[in-house]
Parts: sequence; structure tokens; C-alpha cells
Amino acid sequence: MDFYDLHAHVEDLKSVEEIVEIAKRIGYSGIGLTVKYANIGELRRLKEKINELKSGIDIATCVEIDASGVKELRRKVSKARKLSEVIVVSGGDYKINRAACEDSRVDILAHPEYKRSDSGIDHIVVRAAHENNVAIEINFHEILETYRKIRAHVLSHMRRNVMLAEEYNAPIIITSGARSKWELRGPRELSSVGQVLGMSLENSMKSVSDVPRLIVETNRRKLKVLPHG
Amino acid sequence: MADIPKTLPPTLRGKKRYIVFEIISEKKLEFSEILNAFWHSILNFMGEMGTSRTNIWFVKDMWEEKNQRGLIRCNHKQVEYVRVALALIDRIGDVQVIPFTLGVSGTMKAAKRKFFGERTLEDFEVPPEES
Repeated sequence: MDFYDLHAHVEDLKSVEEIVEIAKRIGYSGIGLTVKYANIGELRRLKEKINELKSGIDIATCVEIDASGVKELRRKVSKARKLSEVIVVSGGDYKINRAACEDSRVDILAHPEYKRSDSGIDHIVVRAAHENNVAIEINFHEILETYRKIRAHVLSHMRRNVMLAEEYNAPIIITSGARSKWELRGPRELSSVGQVLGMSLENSMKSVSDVPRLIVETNRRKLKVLPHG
Repeated sequence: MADIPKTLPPTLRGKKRYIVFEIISEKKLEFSEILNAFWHSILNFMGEMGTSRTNIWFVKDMWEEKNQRGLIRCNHKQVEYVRVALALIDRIGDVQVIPFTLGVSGTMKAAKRKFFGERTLEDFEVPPEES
């Protein structure tokens, strides 16, 4: 089985090698290196670096988009779509969550429950996610960085999101959301998180392997046909 | 009469699984440090009641300091919870760590053979020649 983690931040280009090395050691066959939209200029240098690197695993580039409004989100998505293989929208605001799920150019809606007192998505959003094939993300970093009361809330929101997504057949993706190489976790551990949140063994394994792999493969195919300029 | 209860027959004993894990860190760690960090993590994550269900046991003799590799015994239905509790350890003392599981076995013998490179006499048996 090919395992992918599509949400590992690179804050510094020097750390790329270390991240890739550890990802390979803990059993990934592909990793998505994520840059923030604000640093989109670094994407070209990152791609050069990836080409130089002979790592032996599949490396994809992802852009994480932060937006304060729906119009801003659409503008940013259309700009980033031609440049990177995976588009991740940083959720948290209900309007952004909904707009991201209604946009078929978006691949992943990251942490919809981020800094919220509810789960951030409802049946309407999830149905739209199913129609537009936007994967709802379960972010391990959210669990790792919180503790006690807040962690309990985050887990219950995630459980609700999983329940909704399974009800409407929306894809679920489990990622580490790592900010540094020390926050990466193995694919089997992430799959366990899915199972603890109420997914079946089969679905939780799919959400660390098939779902991310298909996202990367489809987008690569689409980007190839896209005319330049 | 002995003053301890008799060992239960195999059908009445709880079913076990053995989780083999490895720790990636910049500094080599000792068994006691990992034990404390793990207990802290699992009690925070599952609470006392949940932890009691896992029937957790750290096998001290199986800790390999050279490879940073160890063995945890737990109930067969709680393997995924234990795995998450293990993954939730992010630092031990001042050292940042990545714990990850190599695999799960049903017996200690199989775990030793698969992940600790232990050989038994069976491994050296010559297969019967085909005629």
C-alpha cells in the first residue's frame, strides 16, 4: 500500500531533506510539502530543490490558502491552481468552509473545526464536498498541540465531522499537519486516529493511502494538459 | 495451599497483542523515561477507566537501547487506542521524539522473531530434500 501525507509544512527550504528522510523512514511512499499562500513565491525554488533531491519517494507540492472572505478565497485559488499540485484551504470560518467545499478546484479543506466552538461543517457543506470531491481533513497537529478540555472538544468535533462525511460519502483525509519534522507521525498511527474517531479499518486506511494518492495523480494529469501562459 | 491464585486456563485469560514500537530522537533514551512519558500520555488521553480496559504492560526486558525499540502488551481490542496514545508523545524531557509502531503480533515469540531478529532452532532446520 502506498501511504501519503499531504500536509507537512516547510517553513525553511533547508528542512526539506530532513522531513523527506524521516517520512521515508516511518513508511511513507509520498509526501506533500506545504507552503503558505503568502510564501507562494518560494514554490518555484521548492520545486527545483525537489528535482535535485534524489529521495526515492514521491514528493508533491501543496499550497495552503488562508482567506478572510469568499471572494478573496476564489481569487487565491484560481491563482494557485496552475502552480501547485494540491490546493489546501485552511478552514475555521463557516463561510470559508462552505465556499471551499463548493469549489471543485479545491482538493482539501483543512481543519474545519479550527478555533471554533462547533464542528464547523454541516450536512449542506458535506454534501457539497461529496459533489465537488473536496476531502475533509482530520489534522493530527490539532490533537497533538491541544490538551485536556480543548483536546476533548477537538476530538468530539472531529468525530462529528467523520460521522457526517461518512453519511454523505465525502472523502476524508488524515494528515499530520506537521510544522516541523518532529510532528510527523507514521501512516498506521494516523489511521488509528481515524479508527478511534469512529471510522472502519478499511476507510481509515484509505484516507491515508488511496484518497491522497488519487488527489495527487488526478491533479498531475490535469496540470499536464493545462496550456501554459 | 499456595497463597496466590492459580493461573487461569488459557480460555479464560484475556486476549493479548504485542505492539512493537521504535522511537526516533536525537538523543538515546532510557527505558524509565519512555515509561513515564507513555503513562502520562495514555492517562491523559484515555483517563483511568479507559487505561484500565487496555490492560497495558511494558515489557522491560524487550527494550533495546541500541535500536530504541520496545514492546508493549495490551488487550487485543484496544490496540488502536494504545497506538494513538503512543503517537501523542511529542517530547520526553527536553528531547523531541517521533514514536512509531513497527507492527503488532499475537505472541511474544513472533514479535521477537519478526522485529528483534531473534532466531530459534526452527529457523536453522534444513528443509527436506525433494526427490
